[in-house]
Amino acid sequence: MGPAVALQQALGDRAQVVATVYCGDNYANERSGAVDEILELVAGERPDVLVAGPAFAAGRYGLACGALCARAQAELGITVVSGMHPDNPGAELYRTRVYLASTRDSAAGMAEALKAMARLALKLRAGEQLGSPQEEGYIPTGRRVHLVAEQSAAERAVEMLVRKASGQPFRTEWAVPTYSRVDPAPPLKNVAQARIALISSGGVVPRGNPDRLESAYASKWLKYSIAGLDDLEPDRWESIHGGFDTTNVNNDPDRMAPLDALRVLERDGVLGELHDQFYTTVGNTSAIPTMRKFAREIAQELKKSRVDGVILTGS
Amino acid sequence: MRLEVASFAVRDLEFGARTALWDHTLVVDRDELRALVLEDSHFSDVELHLARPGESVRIINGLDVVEPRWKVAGPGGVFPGFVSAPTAVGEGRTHRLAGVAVIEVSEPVPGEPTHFREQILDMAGPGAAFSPFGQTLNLALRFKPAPGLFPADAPRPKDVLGGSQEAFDYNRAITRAATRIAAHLARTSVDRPPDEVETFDLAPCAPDLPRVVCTYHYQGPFLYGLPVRLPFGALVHPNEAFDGALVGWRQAYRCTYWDQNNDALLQLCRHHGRDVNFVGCILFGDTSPSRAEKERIGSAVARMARMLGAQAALVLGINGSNLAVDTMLAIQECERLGIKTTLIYLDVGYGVDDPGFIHAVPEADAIVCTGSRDRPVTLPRMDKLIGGERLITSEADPRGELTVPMRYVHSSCSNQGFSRHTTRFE
Repeated sequence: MGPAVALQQALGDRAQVVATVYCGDNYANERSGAVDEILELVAGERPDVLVAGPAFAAGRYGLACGALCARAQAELGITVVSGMHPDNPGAELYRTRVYLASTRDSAAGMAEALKAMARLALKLRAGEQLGSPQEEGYIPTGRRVHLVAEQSAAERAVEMLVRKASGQPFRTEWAVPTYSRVDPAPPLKNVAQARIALISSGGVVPRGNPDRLESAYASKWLKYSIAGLDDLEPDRWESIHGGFDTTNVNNDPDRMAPLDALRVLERDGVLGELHDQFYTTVGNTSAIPTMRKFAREIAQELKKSRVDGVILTGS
Repeated sequence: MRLEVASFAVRDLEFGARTALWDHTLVVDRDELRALVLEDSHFSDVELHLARPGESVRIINGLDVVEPRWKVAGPGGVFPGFVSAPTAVGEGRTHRLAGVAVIEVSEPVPGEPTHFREQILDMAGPGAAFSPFGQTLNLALRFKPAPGLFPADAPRPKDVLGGSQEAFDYNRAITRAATRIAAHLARTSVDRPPDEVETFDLAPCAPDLPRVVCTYHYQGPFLYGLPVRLPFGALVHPNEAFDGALVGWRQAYRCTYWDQNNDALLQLCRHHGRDVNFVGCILFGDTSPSRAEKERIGSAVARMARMLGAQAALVLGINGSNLAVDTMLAIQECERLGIKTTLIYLDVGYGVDDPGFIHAVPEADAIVCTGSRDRPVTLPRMDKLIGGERLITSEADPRGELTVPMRYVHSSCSNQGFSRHTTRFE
């Protein structure tokens, strides 16, 4: 039933679909124990391989597929494959643990998604060494294998360049990441009435760094009250950022987090009101998923506090 | 511009009574070389050590490495601006002692930036395979500064990244001494028959071959002896690199030896007339804190490549700092002008969540990876230690087993094309 018909076609005579488990996205994500229930149903069929999805861009579906596959792999020891669009939140959470076929963002890509998933499932089950993500059509797992090549980098690069320049096919050794784009929010209609928050990734913290924000590879964001403060004074605030010369900022921390200037604008009525919490972290050598998580968490708080706009400073 | 590079294969390196090259053995007169170095008042002393493949030797506090070369015919001399006049080189005949490396060793002096400076070279065990100098016969020069050069009460430098002028001058004196020693050693070959001669001459070739430029994001402090910033690029002939016009060290990321033997330039010369028409090398690079400066650099590189009529560019790029943006903008601008690019690039990713790029443009679709900078490597205990008693980054016993990121291994992260280390991304 469902995509299993096309999956069986893609698998050909090398594998047989023995059962299909289905459930709603909300059920799988919101009901506690839902994954346990599904896992039990899967285990009851004693399959060699579990194929989940494809979830395309559907976030809750992707999360459910990822969670189920990760657990089936760990607890049942079976081969698992899912498929989803690289921007699916399930991909971010599970791509390092579960092979995910890279699919289009909607069910219009169903046939090709199932073909890719079937191919991956058969190869993984047979214990074959997978090629690169581009060759095999899976979302990069982030795993690195260190090797010594037969030819020097220059020899390989000249060969690749000759192929590229003469229009022959060539294969990169390393695909550049695609960063998801964020559409900017529409401009504020009336700044004079707006509540504005100050955020900085420049590492500004109370002097002495009481909450031990890291200078690089930050694991957290922090917030501090600036209610009643007009100025970040250098004997009370500092930047602990480890990626630039902080001398100028530490002579006057407002150079990184311009509280003094914002207070003037607030007093002059240019902006409505400055939010009384200052949000801070360090954006040095950070991994994008970590920063995305910080952004989501901070944005949720800002929404609750009815903040309309943000001044975000970095180094 | 025609340059013959005559190679003398050196199979052993020893100390002896007189500096000489004899039956593939290079004999070094310690006292003579020491006296040569001490002509410069920057130094109170210099120790000479041999470090040969297979020996249980660890060198710490390594700086630049140079290959012994000497010009026997043609204008100018080797290491222009340091050993010879800063006038054009790249013609005539140059001798090289193949398999020998002169390594500068010095503990950091006051006022010298020490972040990223750790450089470790093992002559045995896995470390020897990670550094290109684990396989060469090395003469290590350990320099000691003259007393009074760095008074204890000197103010700390304001420029944390660049360090003090005194520290810069001292390190330049080290470079001058090492290049002089290297030139002096190669002079021993003057009347000897070489083992091999290779001729580099970018002669006119068939018009249908693709015109290729090497665009080289240059990290060397010196060009013809001058500390340079290259926001508009500089055009050099590969032969100038082979004669030692590109000098200087930048941690694991570059050293002089691998521009004297720059593998990207060598390969392009060897392919010239066969399947490419190699038109020259554009060096570029500057500290570029602002977006405008980065755009200026990228645009200048592409413009110069177009003026050379380039149809393709081999890019030696920098990753791991804001300079990565400059590399990527240069690629984007070249591709925009229809110049096809291939990039030699270091992975700076840290963990599975990190794709390994500081910045990336979709045009960078042909990349050769030179391995991973933060890959941990374990170096077993070595019997002999050269270069001081302390590491910069750790209190650990410098002779003992060390687990360090790859970037602490000498010259392991270079963009000069020679590396065979690579990473497969799954």
